[in-house]
Amino acid sequence: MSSQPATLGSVPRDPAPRTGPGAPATGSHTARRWLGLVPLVALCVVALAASMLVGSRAIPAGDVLYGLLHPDPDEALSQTIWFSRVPRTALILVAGVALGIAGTLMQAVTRNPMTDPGILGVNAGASLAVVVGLAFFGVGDISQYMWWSFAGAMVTSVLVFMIGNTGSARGNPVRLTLSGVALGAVLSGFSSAVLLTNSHVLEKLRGWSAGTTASQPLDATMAIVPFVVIGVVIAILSSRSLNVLALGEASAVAMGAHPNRIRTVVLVAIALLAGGATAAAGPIGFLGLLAPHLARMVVGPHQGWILAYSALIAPTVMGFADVLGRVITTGEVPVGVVTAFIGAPVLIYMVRRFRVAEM
Amino acid sequence: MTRLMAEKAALGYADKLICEEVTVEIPDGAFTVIVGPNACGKSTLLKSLTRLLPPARGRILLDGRSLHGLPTKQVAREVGLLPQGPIAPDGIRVIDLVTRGRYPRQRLFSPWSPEDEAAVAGAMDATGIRHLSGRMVDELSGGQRQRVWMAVALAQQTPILLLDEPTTYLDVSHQIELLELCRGLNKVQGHTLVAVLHDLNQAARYADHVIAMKDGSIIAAGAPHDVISESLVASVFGLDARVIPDPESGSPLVVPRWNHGSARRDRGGPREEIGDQR
Amino acid sequence: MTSLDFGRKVFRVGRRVRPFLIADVRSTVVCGALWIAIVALAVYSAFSGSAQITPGEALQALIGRGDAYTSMVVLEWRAPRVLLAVLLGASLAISGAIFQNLTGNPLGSPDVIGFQTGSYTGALIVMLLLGGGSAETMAGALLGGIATAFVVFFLSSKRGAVRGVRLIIVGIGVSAMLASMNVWILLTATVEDAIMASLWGAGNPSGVSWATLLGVFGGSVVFLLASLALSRPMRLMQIGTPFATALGQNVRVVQVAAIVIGIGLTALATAPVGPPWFIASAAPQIARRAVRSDRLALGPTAATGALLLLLADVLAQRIYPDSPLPVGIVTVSIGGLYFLWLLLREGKKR
Repeated sequence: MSSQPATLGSVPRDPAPRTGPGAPATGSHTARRWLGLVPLVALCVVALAASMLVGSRAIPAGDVLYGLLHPDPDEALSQTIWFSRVPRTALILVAGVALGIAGTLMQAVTRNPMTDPGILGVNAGASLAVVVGLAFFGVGDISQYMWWSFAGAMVTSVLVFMIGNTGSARGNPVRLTLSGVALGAVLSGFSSAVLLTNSHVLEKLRGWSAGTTASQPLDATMAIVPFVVIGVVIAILSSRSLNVLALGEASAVAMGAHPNRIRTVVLVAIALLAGGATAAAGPIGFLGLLAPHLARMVVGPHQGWILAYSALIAPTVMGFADVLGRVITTGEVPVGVVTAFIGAPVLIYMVRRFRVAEM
Repeated sequence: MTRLMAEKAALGYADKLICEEVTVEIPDGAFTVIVGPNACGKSTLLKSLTRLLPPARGRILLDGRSLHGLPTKQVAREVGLLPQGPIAPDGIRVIDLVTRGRYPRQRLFSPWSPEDEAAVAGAMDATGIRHLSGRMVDELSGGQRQRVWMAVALAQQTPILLLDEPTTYLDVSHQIELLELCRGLNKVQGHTLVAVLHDLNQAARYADHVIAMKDGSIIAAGAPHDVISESLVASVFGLDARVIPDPESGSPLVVPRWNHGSARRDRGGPREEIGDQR
Repeated sequence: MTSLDFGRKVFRVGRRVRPFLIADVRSTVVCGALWIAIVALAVYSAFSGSAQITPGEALQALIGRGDAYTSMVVLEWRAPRVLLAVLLGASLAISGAIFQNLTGNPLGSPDVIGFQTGSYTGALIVMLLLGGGSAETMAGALLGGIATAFVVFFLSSKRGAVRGVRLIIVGIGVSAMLASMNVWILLTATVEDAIMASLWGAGNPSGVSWATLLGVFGGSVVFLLASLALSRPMRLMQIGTPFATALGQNVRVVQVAAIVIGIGLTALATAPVGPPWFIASAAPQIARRAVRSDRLALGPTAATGALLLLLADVLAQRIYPDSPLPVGIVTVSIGGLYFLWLLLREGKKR
């Protein structure tokens, strides 16, 4: 399924052939994929429900359900549910899906399993743009600064791509990852610089910079939904092209694909998705790394399925991470911190387990 | 007479044993070539002969002493290696790269001695790259670069020299050039050479001693005439071939069978035999 | 015997036939120029500034004949700060050179990989959770950096050997975890404390005293000298582990030594003033390009690092005379732009 990359000495793009069946998609294989969706959807629902149920006030499940079905603006319980819990869960769902798909696209278009928008600095770029907007251009609420976020994500994606995937770095995944990390560090540095010299923005964004699910009202999250949807649609439509792209530049062109066109379109999708998620929830890393990796372990190297599974896995992980963050100590551990603590060990495990060629 | 040998050695990497039990002697002063299909353990054997890979069982001996017990710099003065696919650092000049080969013989505060100078000059002369001495390695062609790596290995001035697939990425004229160089080193300067080669016919021409491996075991070892036979080629490589004397060198020439009828008959029209040209 | 073409001008130090040292002419000239620039800048920095002291008065203070106020400003505030910038800049640059050589990648340097993040974590824990003062913060930073480096090292070594690629990725992972932890710790503090802690995190050499300088001087000098001994083994490692081993080098020992020295230098450089980003990555690359050498070029690298940090510090103080910036912001800006240029150039190559 995953054929030889065009270059020697690259990271095995796809761990799946070692763990899962590398066999061509036979009937049983596809059936497996469909079947796998069922427990996954269930798990996702559980995660979202958990995030709805857990909070500083202990509200029994029955009451939550009642509050959902009978919204009453005067009743305190209903208020809590609708103004605190529901927006949170909605954010988890939307941002989770966005990040999961963005990560999958990123890995597909760079042919590198060790990337995600966080690692490659796209989130950093988006947040820098937001910070700049807030500090120097007096932007106010999310419907305004989300445009900054999109722009920042777009510019950064293009930069990373240009830097990391052309010339000497072509085909060298570690070089790409490093370029992205360096770029991300630079952009974060600029962000810090702006924040330190504009303390009013620092106060406003304190919770935001590690990724949080708490700060957005429902309509704010809804504002980015259309863009996330566009991103998802692009992703789905590109999945066949990405399968072909995975075979290498030369093979892809031989099969009649247009690699540059595919990449441009996908980069736009990544910008929309990562930019949207970052605008709403702050920069959250590692979700985009974990979700496709886990998905690939189950379904193999088929982009369409990986997209579907990632879209479910990411909000599940995010939901559980969010709950964990709230449960673990009295204060709230931002969800971005929890995902980092889950995702980084996975990354480390990946690089230890698989033989990575020297550069 | 042999100085370098493997005695009932089991070789492999942490998760996988490649050679169960290998016993081999490298004849001194000869040009030995190891051949075999992919993943037969040729490179593994070569690496273990230079202590890059310690044997899981058994011993690798140099002058009767276990290779892995000797101090590494001492071994480096006796056994040299040209590994597969070596990396040239960015922006390095030929002479600096060749000088790296003097490492085992250099003392801490004496980075350059007359011996170093002579060795580096000699190595560059032998490989014919003296005129490239001040150039950047990245600017050289593939053939030139491989000769530079040969010079690095030669600058070590070791009596025994091991080469891991030195011709694999070269085009055919450079392959022959390199092999002729090796032959000169062996016949004229008396180095013991051990090389892993893919091309059976080149091995047959240049080797004094051939070791054929398959699936981690040594199937045959001896002079090319004795080792390279139709039955061996069939059993080791799975290739149905004729073995005839090479019209140039007289060594065994492996000619794979052609089962499609003679070229002349199939394509029709008068065609001269190749032999007529002579 | 006919002489060899080195491709560049060299000169020999020591006996003609068996020289003590072979040095590049170009390398030496560049190094000399850099040190002249450093001294000039140091003098400028010590003699000028917001305290309104004329050069004459400053000179008097330096030779011990100034009045109390001038002496305090020049000798207690400015001099240690300048010297510290030179020392730390050199340490960071050498550490960067060592790690870039070890990982075989110009981006594989302690600030990108995350050792400096670990120092920040240690410092934050001391500052915000344990309420320590500046000496304790330094200790915390030192321990944090060293602990992080060891964790990264152990996680990336498999069967005893560290491979460059793995070191980088593991470093990125660990650094990401620590970075997010840093944000979390900052969140638990008050806004004022958070700002103060963030200033440390951006590199803040104000408030540096002779005590600070002496604290790190000994260790840094030891490590710097040790790195000289590493120079030749590391050059050999550049051609790959199999070749280096075949040439008689004990690669594992060299790697461990390199890591220890590199960690030591970074930790000591980060502890007193916080992490000045990008000196470690940028200085070795700038030096290599200026000198056009293949070797580690430790001399020019150290000088470049010292000059960069000193320059950044001077800029940070002078750019807004009323509110001096943390030096890290300046280094990020300069270093960051340099970096982008470097990456774009690498991208266009080949």
